[in-house]
Parts: sequence; C-alpha cells; structure tokens
Amino acid sequence: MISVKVKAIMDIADLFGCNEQVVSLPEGSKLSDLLDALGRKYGQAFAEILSKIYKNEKEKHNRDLHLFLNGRNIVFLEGLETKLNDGDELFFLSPVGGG
Amino acid sequence: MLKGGYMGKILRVNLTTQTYAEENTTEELASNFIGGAGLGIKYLFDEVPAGADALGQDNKLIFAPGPLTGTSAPCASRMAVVAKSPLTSAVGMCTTGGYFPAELKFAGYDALIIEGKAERPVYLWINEGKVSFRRAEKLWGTNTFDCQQLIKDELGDQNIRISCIGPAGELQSRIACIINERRAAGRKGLGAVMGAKNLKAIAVRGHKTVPVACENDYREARSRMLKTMKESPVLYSAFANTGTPMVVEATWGLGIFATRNWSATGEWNPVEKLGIKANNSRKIGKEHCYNCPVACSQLKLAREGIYTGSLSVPEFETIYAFGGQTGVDNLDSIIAADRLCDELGLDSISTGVAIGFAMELYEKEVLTKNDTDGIELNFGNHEAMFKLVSKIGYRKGFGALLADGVKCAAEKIGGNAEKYAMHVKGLELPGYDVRGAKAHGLNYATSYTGADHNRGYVFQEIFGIPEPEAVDRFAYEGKGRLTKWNQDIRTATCDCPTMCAFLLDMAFPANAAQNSADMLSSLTGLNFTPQEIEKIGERVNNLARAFNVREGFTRKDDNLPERILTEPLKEGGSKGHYISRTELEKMLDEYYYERGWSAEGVPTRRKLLDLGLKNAAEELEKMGVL
Repeated sequence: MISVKVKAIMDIADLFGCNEQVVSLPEGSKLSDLLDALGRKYGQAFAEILSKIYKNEKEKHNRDLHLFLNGRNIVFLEGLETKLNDGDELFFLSPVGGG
Repeated sequence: MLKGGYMGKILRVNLTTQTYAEENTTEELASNFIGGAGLGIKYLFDEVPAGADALGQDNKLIFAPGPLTGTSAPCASRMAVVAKSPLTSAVGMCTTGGYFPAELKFAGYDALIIEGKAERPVYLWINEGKVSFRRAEKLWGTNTFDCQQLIKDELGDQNIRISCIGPAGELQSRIACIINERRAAGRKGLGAVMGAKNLKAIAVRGHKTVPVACENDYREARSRMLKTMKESPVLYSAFANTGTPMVVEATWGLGIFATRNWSATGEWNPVEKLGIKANNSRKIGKEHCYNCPVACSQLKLAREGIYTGSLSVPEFETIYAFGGQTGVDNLDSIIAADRLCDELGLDSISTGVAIGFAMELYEKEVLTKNDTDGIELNFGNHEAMFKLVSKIGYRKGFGALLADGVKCAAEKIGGNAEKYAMHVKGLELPGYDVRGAKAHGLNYATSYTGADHNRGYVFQEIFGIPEPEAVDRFAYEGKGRLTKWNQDIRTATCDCPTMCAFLLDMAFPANAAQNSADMLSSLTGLNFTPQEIEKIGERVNNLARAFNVREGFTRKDDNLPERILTEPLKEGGSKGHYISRTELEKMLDEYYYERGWSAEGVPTRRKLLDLGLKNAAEELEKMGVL
C-alpha cells in the first residue's frame, strides 16, 4: 500500500471536513484511482467535483479547479493517468483570485 | 478636443509659491498613455531631473485617475500616485481605490501635479476649480482617520474626499503611505514625499460629471463587461464574501505562503488561524470602492485581548506581512497592526517585512534586547510585533532603525544583515514565496517599482489560470515572455484606464485588452484597438525603465535576495524548489530579448522610437548608454 496526502481548501475542504488527510491506496495506483477512492468516501457530494475534473481533463482548458501533484499542475504530468508514489501530495486548488 | 472620459484639465500646484495653474489634457497624451500610471510616469520622466532628491523640492507628486474613473464603469474607482520613490530611488507608482479618485474627476481634473515644498504644514482644498492653501499646523501629528474628519468638519462638508498622511509620512519614513478613506497608496514611501513637501492632506469636492463620447457603444461595452464579470467562477460566488484572505489558503496549498522572513515557508499551516473561517468570524461588514458591485473589502473587528475593538480590512498581503512573515498566528493582533498602520500612514507590507527581518536577526543573536528597547523579538511574539508598529511609525527607539525599510536597516546594522533583508531595489517582498512561482520571481526582479506583485501579477502560476497559456510554475523557460505579457497587460488594462486589478485574473484573463479597447473607445471617442492597448502597456513599462536607467539602475539591480537564490524550500507544496542564479540570469536574458532591450537591460533606440519615446531615447543617449 502507498499513502498519499490530500490537501484542499474552501468548498472542497468543507466537503472533506479537513484541509489535510492521508489516503491509502494499492501500489501502482494512478491519480484517477485516488479520485475514485475519494468518490467512494464522499459519495454524491464529491460526484459534482469529479465531473468537473473529468470535464476539465477532456477540454484541456481549465479555468475553475486545478489539481497539483507534488506542487506541479497535473496538466504538466500525465493528467489523471499519472502514477502515484508513496508520500505523494495532491492539492485541490479551488477557484481563487485577488492577491 | 477630447469628447469623453477626460475632464480636459490637469491641475498643477506649486507649494513653494502657493500658486496653481490649469493645463489642457491633450489628445496626444490620452492616445499614447491613456491616463493613470501612464500619464503619471510620462510627467515624472519629463519633469523630475535625473538624480533628484526624492525628498527634495525637485521631486513631484502626481495623482492621476484614468478616463474610466468616476464613470458608470464597474470597478474603475482607482488612481495612480506617482513620484520618484524615496525607498527605491526608482519610479514610485501605486494605485489606490475608494472615492477620492472619482472626486478628483468630479472637481474637473484628469490629474493633479504637486511641485515644490511648503514653508510650513498646509493642506490643499480643491473645490470645483478653486484651490486654496490652508494652514495645517494643528493637523500635524494627527492620525489619518482623525485628519480626514477634522478637515471635513473645518470645511463644513462631510462629503469631501481626502488623501492624507499620518505621523509616519510627516516624519518622512521611507515606508510611509498615503491614505484616502480606508484605502492606501501603500508602497514605495510616497507618504514621505508628501511629508517632505509639508503637505498634510488634499481635500477635494466636485459636482461635474464625466462626459461619455458614444453613449450607445459605451452602454453595450459596459453590459458586456458586467456580463463577463458575472461569468467569473470566483468573483461574486466567493471573492465578494471573503476578499483576499482566500489567497492565504491557496498559497499554503502551493507551499508559497512566505513564512518567518522566508526561512520556513511550507513548514507551517496558517489555514485554521489565519484563513477564511478565522477572518469571517471577525467580519462585521463590507466596504465598496466607488461604483464597485463586488465590495471585496471585508471589515473585521478584533475581539480578543489587548486588540479588542480594533477595526480594519487586513488583506492577504497584510496577513502575510504581520502573520506569515513574523510567524504570528494571532489574527486579532494582525487586525490591530493593520489598523495602526492605516492610522500612522505606514505601508503594512514593508512594516511587517521589516519586523520579520528584525525577528530573524534577534533569533540569530545579531540583535539583542539591548538593541530592541528590551523587546523579546522572537518569531511568533504578537505583542512584540504590535509594539514595533507604533515605534516604527513614530521613529521611536528601535523603530527608527526599521522606519526606512529593510535595505536601509541592513546597511546600518552591517555584517551579514543584508543576507536576511528581503527586498528588491529596496522594496520589501510581498507574500508569495517565488521559489515556487518563478515568473513571479522574475516580475519581482524586473518590475519598475522593485519587488511589486501588483505590476505583473502571475495569476497563471498562483491561480493556475491558463491565459494566455498554462504554465508550469517550477519551470524557468518561457517566463521572460510571460512576465513581459503580464506587466504590459496589467499596466495597460488596470493601471492606466483605470480598472481594479482583481478583475484581470478573476474576470478578464483572456480578453482584458479587448474589454479595455471597447470601454475606452466608446467612452472617449478615441480609437483604441486591443493591439494598441497592449502597445500602451509596453510604452509605459519602457518609459518607466528609461527613468530607472537614467537614475543609474542596471541589470545587476534586477536581482532577488540571496535566500531565494540559494536556499531550497524544505517542506510543503514547493519542497525542494528555488531559483538558482543561473535560472535567474537565463530568465533575465529571455525577458530582455522579449522586451527588445540590450543584454544590460537598457531599452534600445529602435524599441524606444518604435514606441514613440523619442525624448527617452535622447535622454539615454546623453548618458551614453544607448
């Protein structure tokens, strides 16, 4: 098994009930497997977020929700097919603005 | 003859002779520089001589709203305030919102240029084309909020709008700001320029309306603008209710919430104590700038301990400066420190960064209690942080050492203190640890005002917005081109017309030039194309660069603090990353190439002539650098 830290803010953190959590997955898991695991854990409430992620993956032009694996936007990795390793960190960046 | 957007007059005031004159706003000026920062930098370059003392008689202080300011355009409340900066000796340019900028237009002016120095403290009273110089001895020493109220009472009109300085500006602190209402032209020490001129305040009242050249086209352009704002995934749905503190959480997630003088970024989670929920638990209301449908300013009331009762609007940058930078997780103390900065007229970013700098030196035993007036200046000590704000504002004791910013303090302390002074060109770093956002770092290195997030904010790296293209925040390739684009588009679409810069990333990342072209063309009757808008941004950035070159700035000043270049981040979402010296030099090479500048970072004659900046080319030629 591998452990992946999942970080989230704002609406997604509210859904998770925390900013940080650790999810255990089988060796060889991909990012899509992690999202499926979160889908099983959070059910319908997470489904809307999942559909947004898959839509963004398809359109390749995401303006409203970004996933960062070990700090790098997954569009610069293998997207949802990116293989996960023990100790990886996934961050859900909800739409933010105004620095 | 300008048909719309402009009031047609620029007011020039001489404090030495206590005289004033009106000049025409020309079509050439409007077409080439729009207004705001463009107009201000044009006058700064033309009229402030090379090597002028920023706190002397030769420096000028220019207040310039834009053509959209004071119209029904949403979020166009702003003005540029421009002078040679006493903090950096480079172009000092800030924008501020609120209501003063629109009132200056209603009084009939596209800009106000202040020259000379009054013999004794005065304030200006600009009332519908009449200017009077009023004695301000009794106002000298008042905080900015009391000053505004006292002037309104003295002049018998509560609707007067006022820009003023507090004690920090009077004492010529190089990190002093100018306050109007609760807004600030915050950075680069422009409050000290005002203080050096013995000018306590400017009071304005007017009843004119800003003319519109093409009513139908303007109405349609405005409708499109409002529609695009409504389509934003964040502007009304989240930002309107949280304001900038949401960026605390985003930068934590990305591992770039700069912490403990940038020594511990990524090693601390500020979300619970300083994030959205903590901020909203203190929220008691919201404030709008003129004609803003968003109202992002969240009024917060401190409710704990010695800070109880303090009311302010701490933005993300202030939470970074008094929170992350100092390691303080007590939000009430941050609210109180922010309030104190507004009252004293201090830039909260530079003040907080200076305190964090001193804390690190204290922890490293470079400074001791003998130096700090007995204050135990450890990271995280909120009471020490709060005490120091007042000492800095009044230049008292240890505070006097920090009152001119970290560069100046490091020079006075000596040894290796400069190593811990987080600044570029003397301007303290804002709150994004650029080791995890390399174009943001390049912008800090090259912005014409020093380390200034507002002159070329890299929303592509911080918010992941893929306009004009998606970028990998850890890569250095392509960041020269991106930085030029960000600086030019921000200048042209936000700092000149004016428009609140928050709209750029949240509503118009893909079509800001088109929006500005539509709004400005219909408002003014002049023909602004999106291409011309972008070229104006380039023109203004080149003219500002030419000013800095004339002041002696070279490639070596386009630098970053040693810590950024040598210390990889140890934890968090940007763990292991930093900007190496080689990467910075490569980014600079690319940036200069994209700008059409020499390898030394000097605009070429060809570039300056292409932008219609013949005067700048002649000035640099005289110096022998072209």
